[in-house]
Amino acid sequence: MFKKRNTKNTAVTVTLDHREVSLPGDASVAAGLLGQGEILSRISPASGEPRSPHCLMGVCCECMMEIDGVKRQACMTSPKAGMVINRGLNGEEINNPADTDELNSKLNEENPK
Amino acid sequence: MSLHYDVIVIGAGPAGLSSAALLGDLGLKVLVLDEQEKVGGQIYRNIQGADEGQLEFFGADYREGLQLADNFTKAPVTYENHAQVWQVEPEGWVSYSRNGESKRVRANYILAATGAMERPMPIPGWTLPGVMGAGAVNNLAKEAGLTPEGRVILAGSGPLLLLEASLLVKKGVEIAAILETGPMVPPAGDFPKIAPRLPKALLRWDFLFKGVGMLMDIKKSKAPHYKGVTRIQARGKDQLEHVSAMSGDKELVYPADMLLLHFGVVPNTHIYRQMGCKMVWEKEQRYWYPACDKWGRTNFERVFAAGDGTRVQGGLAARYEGQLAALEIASCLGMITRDERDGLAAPIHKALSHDGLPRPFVDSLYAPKSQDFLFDDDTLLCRCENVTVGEVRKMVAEGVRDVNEVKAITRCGMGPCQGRMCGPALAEIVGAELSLSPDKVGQLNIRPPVKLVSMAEIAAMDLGEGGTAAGNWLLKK
Amino acid sequence: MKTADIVVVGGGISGAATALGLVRRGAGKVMLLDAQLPSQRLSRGNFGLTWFMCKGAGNPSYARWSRRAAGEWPEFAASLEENTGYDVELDWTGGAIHAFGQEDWDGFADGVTSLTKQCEEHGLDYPVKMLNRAEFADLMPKIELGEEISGGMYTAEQGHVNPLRLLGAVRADFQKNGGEYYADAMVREVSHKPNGTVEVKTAKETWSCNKLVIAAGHGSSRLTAALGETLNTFPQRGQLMVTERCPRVLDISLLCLRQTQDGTFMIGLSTENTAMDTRITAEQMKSQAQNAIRIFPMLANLNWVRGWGAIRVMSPDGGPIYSRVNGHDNVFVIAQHSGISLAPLQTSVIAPWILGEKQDEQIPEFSNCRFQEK
Repeated sequence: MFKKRNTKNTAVTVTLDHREVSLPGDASVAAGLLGQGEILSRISPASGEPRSPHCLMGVCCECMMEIDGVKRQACMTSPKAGMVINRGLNGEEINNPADTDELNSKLNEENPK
Repeated sequence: MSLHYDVIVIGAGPAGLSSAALLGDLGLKVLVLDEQEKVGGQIYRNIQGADEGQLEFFGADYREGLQLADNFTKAPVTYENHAQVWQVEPEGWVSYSRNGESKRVRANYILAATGAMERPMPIPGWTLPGVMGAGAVNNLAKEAGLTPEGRVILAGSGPLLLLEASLLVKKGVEIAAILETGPMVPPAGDFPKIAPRLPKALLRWDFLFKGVGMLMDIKKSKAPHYKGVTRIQARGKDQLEHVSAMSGDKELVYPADMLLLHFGVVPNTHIYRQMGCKMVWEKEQRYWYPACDKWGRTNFERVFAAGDGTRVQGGLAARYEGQLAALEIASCLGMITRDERDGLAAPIHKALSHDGLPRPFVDSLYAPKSQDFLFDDDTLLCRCENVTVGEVRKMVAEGVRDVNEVKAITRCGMGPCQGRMCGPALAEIVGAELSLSPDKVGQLNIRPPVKLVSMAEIAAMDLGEGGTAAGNWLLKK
Repeated sequence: MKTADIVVVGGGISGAATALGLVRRGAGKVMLLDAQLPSQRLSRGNFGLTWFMCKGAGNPSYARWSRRAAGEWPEFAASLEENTGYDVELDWTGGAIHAFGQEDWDGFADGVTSLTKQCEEHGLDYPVKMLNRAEFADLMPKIELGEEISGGMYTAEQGHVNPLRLLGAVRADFQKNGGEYYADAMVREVSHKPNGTVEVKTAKETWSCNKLVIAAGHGSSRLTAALGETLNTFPQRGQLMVTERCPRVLDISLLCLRQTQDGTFMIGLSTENTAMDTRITAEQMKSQAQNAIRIFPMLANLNWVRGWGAIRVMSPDGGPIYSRVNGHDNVFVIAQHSGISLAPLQTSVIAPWILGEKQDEQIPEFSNCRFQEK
């Protein structure tokens, strides 16, 4: 959906939905994900529909994703090394205590610290 | 470090930058809070990170921000980025969240320059992935060097729609169509209003020249360009697949990868309304803005507003308004005399007038009309809470007359965006059902936090000097 | 001049539920006049509990009244849904109050014992019991309990509801039954005419009616004063918070915390004297957040989405006021907090009383005059 011009960005490694991805260090998480073709930002809790970022300026809240455990606006967040991002796109419940332990152990398995 | 400032400036767009720099240079203790990573707001987004190619591409209007940002960077002010203000108490307290921590700070004066947003216009399918604001794409270009790929459709109204189209053309983006809702020629009934504004506008031939240049770029691209379009719809299963619309009797259908919507720009007023500022209804442009005196002072003596958050007048006007507010605040705090203030303000007032010459003309050409807000019942109105236009109409049929009551029963406006995306259309719909102007059906009550904050963050919040400790049944951590 | 059989002033839950009772009993032409004032919508600030537990300590009348109301809730909700299609989201899942540590627990246990005794003395049951931590945790198996919780009190016979949908449902049912609802009718003046009718003046209309019911929240005292009676209510603020949506893990309500069917968590328990100021305070939000996290640690990572305040209509003994205005036998006043919990009785007991069909034996216990004697 987007093509990127070459810039002297420093890349930052984050975990997106349990896999490692590299995001440009000087753009927001939302912009970085869009630049990689990751269009969807979340499943809307009220409707169950997939959503993508809409305003890219902190107004619409469509880019809310779980970032290091708390849902934040991805367009207002800068990527940091080791950041853990979960979009909940496959219906796995984020912010659910029953799943969190499972997710944590899964993450530790995949990315032993 | 004491948390009491002379002035807290909220927003580092043109108004915030110019006011803070001036206040700092005049010797006041200033804190600037901006939610983005870098200064510039929307219009000068990433100005300090832009290379010569970007500066060249976005033109003089963008490049102007460089000096502004540099002056700010050199000014003796405290600047905190990624700072989301979530509550302002007009007595002088500002609560904000930064890096997972919330604190409450004190100021003698507050200048809120929170800018504007694209007018949210619900169309069928507007929540489909692939549908975005035209301004959003502009933001992505400036911030991350991104350019849309695939078949792009632009739809809506207003000069910024055409500006974005011309920028995309310059980048070689394939524009499948431009669908403008405004008519080819303004209806005859509007002429008496528009025509008298033209002479003043002609005094700014540079502005008009730019506009004409823009239109020529678009024409050269040969992108199909329709006017007087109605019934714009985004269609697709899980993502945008095509866009349909009516041009007169003709149905247009275009396969599309992206639909960029833009229906004009309106002030982002949440912070003012949360404070309880007196709001004024701008009848022609159909939006609310905070009532201010000529210095930008709101109904609260020590709270000022400047920039597009007041009335939408563009980047230069925002800069000037920021400076005027700063001069008044500085004189109130005794850093300059009234005479000095007036002397410094005079050329700014002049520049502000000059800048504003073409605006009434352009504004009237693109003024939204009530018929722009006719929606089908099953169009989604509240994106956060999944409330349709029909559900709102049902409330009015059941006797409800105030938008807050509609919100209470349907949940429209109760989600995280707190009615930013549905509020304007909600008022239009309720007003239309009652044959009332949208300003007569109430305004959504805006409550803290105007930006989301985690419970843990609130629980650990630093309440600032004078904040009392919480109740006696606390967990001691 | 328009005429009506009964005019009800105040379209919040108290007025609307009473008006509903009137039309369901065929009361003739009933008008419900509502101002929808932005500041005074107490019904919009209600937490949503449909409870009797803990109500009426030292006030057996109120304890009994609350118990009766709770008992009628399931049928009340069902009838609203059947008549209007509105799902008021009643969760008849019981209610509990958590204790932190042993001292709290012991204090609650004493409270339960004493209220049970008080109720017994008045021929009323009080089906509340104390639970230890393990039993308490069993009430909410999907959510982790804070480590300081030692247990608490519990009853199965109450629940929680969506108070906002409820208001929509009650007004819809009222209109379906022929009631007329006016949402932009601010009543300025009420007066008694020599022929016994009551005249009600709004900005746009004048109404003449045979009976007048004043249920206008904080607007009621002005109207009763005009008729020569002082209404014994005063404002008391409560502050509330709500979180973002989250998958449903808690269906039982706690006194200060519940999860709605939408998945949001509502939190609130404060009483303050701020006259009519509905603003929230950072101190209270911080305190409530701390408390909520102490109860359920998982709440820490949820976003706080909104805070608001609402001003309760409080009386000196905390009980409701149902009175005929002195010297005006056909003018009634209703004033109460916990209007949501008590809503079913407005429809089933207060309405027939107003119609003169049946005066329930408890009604005189809630007269406005009861305060003057003390």
